[in-house]
Amino acid sequence: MPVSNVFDPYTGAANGGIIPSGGKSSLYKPTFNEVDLTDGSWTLYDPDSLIQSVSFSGGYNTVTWNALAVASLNYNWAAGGEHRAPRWYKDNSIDGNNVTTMDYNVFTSVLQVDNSVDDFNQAVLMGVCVDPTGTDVFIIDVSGGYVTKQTGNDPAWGTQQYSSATTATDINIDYGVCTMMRGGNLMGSGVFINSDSTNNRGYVQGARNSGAAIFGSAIPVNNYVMVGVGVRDSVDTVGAGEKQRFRAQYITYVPDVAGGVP
Amino acid sequence: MKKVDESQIVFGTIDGIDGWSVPLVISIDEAVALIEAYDPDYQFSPPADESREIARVFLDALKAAMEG
Repeated sequence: MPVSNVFDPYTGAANGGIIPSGGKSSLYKPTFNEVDLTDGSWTLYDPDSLIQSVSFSGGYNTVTWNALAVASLNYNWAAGGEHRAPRWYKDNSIDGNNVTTMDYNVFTSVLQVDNSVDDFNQAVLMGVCVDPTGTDVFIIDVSGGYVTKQTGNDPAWGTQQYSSATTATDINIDYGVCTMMRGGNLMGSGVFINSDSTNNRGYVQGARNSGAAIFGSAIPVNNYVMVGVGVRDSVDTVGAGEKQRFRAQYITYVPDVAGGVP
Repeated sequence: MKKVDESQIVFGTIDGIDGWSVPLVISIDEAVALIEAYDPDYQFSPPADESREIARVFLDALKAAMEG
């Protein structure tokens, strides 16, 4: 079983589970960070008080909603210019270093949903953003792995980029893997492969370009890791007490791009 | 020249729409000529033969993709 360096063995600082400061851990199959929204490391931003509660068990987060009675673009992470859907966030930090908008950073997420908790047409976003407490898309600047599920149907996994998304589904799929590159003040692009959990065979694949630059000047601004929840489509509503249950994992690394340029 | 970038055709949910994304590539010279000739305020622009040519490139690719 691979060992994750949750704390840097050289400095003692939290390191995001990847590379110790004073040495080089292997980049071959490093352990992902498991998202436990109840572990105290995440901050909830919920501008319209839509989250009733959150719990964690068996690797899965269960989010219970208050009523979203009036459907709106604002709760769909893949549409519109304003995002008011709930999101949890924390620093995107490796080895005590905050990943910034100027760092060329690679972010990979793995998303699963519990199909048995099928209360409403849902979405989950596991990504990176610039300002998690913003509501304008150009302020949030979010992109990442994305999964939607229409009640009674198979989930569709893919990538959300800025304020749009591309997803794909197949009856055999159990989870979605998304990798994206951001950096140099651009939001970059995301690619995805959706696979089964029996032998990890991929069934569908895709990609989406954000086509977006980070808002503002090209100066380093800290990034955040973000878990957003929302509705699948802009016409969807949520009943009070309805739930969604999902597992999210992520890893990020920052290659020394500038250091490699002659 | 105009063609569909066939390896980049996507079937899935794109921007909230369940369906196909079919990227159409048009050479710079042809794009310039098309736009110069196009009048969005004139109901008969673009001409039918030009529209049909573009539509057939798109539909041939879509048909091939849908038929697997």
